[in-house]
Amino acid sequence: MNLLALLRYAFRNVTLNLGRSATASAGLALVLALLASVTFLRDSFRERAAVLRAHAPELTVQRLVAGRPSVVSRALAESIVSIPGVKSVEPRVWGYLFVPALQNNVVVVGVSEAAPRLTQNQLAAGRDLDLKRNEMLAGNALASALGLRVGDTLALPPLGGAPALLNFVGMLQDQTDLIAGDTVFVSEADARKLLALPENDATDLAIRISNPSETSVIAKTIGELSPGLRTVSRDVTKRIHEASYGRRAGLFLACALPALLILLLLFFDRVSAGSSQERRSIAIQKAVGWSTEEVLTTKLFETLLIASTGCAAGILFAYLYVYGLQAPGLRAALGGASALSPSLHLTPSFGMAELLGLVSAAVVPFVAVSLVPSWRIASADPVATLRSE
Amino acid sequence: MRTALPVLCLILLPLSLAGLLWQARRASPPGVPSALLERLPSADLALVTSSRATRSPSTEEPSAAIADAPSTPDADVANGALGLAAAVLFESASQ
Repeated sequence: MNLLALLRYAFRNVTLNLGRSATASAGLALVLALLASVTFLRDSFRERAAVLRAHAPELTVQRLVAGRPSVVSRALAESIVSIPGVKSVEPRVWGYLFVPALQNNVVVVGVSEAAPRLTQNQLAAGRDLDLKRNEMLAGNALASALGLRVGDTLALPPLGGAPALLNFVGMLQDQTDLIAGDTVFVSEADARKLLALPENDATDLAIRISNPSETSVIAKTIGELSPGLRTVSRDVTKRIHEASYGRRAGLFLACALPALLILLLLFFDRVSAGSSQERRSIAIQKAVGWSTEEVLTTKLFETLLIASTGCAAGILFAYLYVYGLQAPGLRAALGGASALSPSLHLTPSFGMAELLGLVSAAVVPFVAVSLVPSWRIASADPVATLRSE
Repeated sequence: MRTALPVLCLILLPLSLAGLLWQARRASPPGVPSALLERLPSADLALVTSSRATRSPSTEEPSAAIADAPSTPDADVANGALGLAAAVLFESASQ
């Protein structure tokens, strides 16, 4: 059996029925583009969240009041820091502020004196905060939405008291939008004014632990210090991220699967019953001496030629759509919609397993639905098939 | 040429996949200064910044770790899927 000759013959068949082959290939490309886009976007979100988690404290301590997160006393930090294995405890001041101009919440973060400084080349414009003045640093998405320029003064509506006037001194780069596009950094004193947080309270406590394998023991010890304390570990955060992005992507993929099934059904219907030309072609091949194996190899090549071009086009389109165009339309379905729209700047984080999974989900059934009817026709008596036509 | 084009079409998919994998391996994530990462209150992405406090589901939803769908909107507030009993509707309408 000359495989190259059969491949040439299959290619000639594909080009002779170019309209039909192109339609099947385009259908496959569209379905695969949809599946691949969702997979790429999900994996990139997970990868970005993993980068963030790597810098997060091992434990975050909150207080629950009436089942909802409340503020914690700064004095609690002193009790926690004395627990063996605890490296440091940082009372953090942060919260949300509703900005009527945006009809949206922004995240207000109080920067402590001990926090590492941002250099000028790490910012898109301006400089880092001078904590002794009333200054603010904002994410790119937020600054763009409010039309802020370095040097502007902004009156943020505080949760209590008179509006606080803040000088806008720096803007974060747009590649940090996905993690801080909606965030305002101010001094801790200004954050307390904006969020109406008393001097002795903090939003939560960030705990760094010397040996991360002791996290659960330390979390249990902290829980016993005072009723109502809740600890969130990095592992729990990972589980939440996997559930958030995985579930949304899973739901979307489940909705997209019928499209693939319909495509396969249409293709099966066309190959098995629709085309008398196909039956006659196979019967003539058998009548002039082709073996069933040669007929099926030709059909396999035809299907692979269609599937290969379709899948390659679909996956390449998905790559450009997600990483080039930042997935317009799909990002809201997977990431949620917001008045502030951060630029994504996603990094490809898929591997061989994801790509093979996508290809096998489309190509294997596609090949199967085209080979089975061809095998049935090739197995029948060619003379009887030609007479029945 | 008569053979090259069919063979090229056949290996187009493996070639594309290899190219994408190569591209993915050499792509480096956008540089985010660690000084910024350490200032952030949570490890959640800034995707949903709604008027509802879902910006940081990992720290704000006490049951997020065991929730079916953390950070998603409440799907069935007040038993929406079942609807209100007719008597309740009539009662509220008459008040």
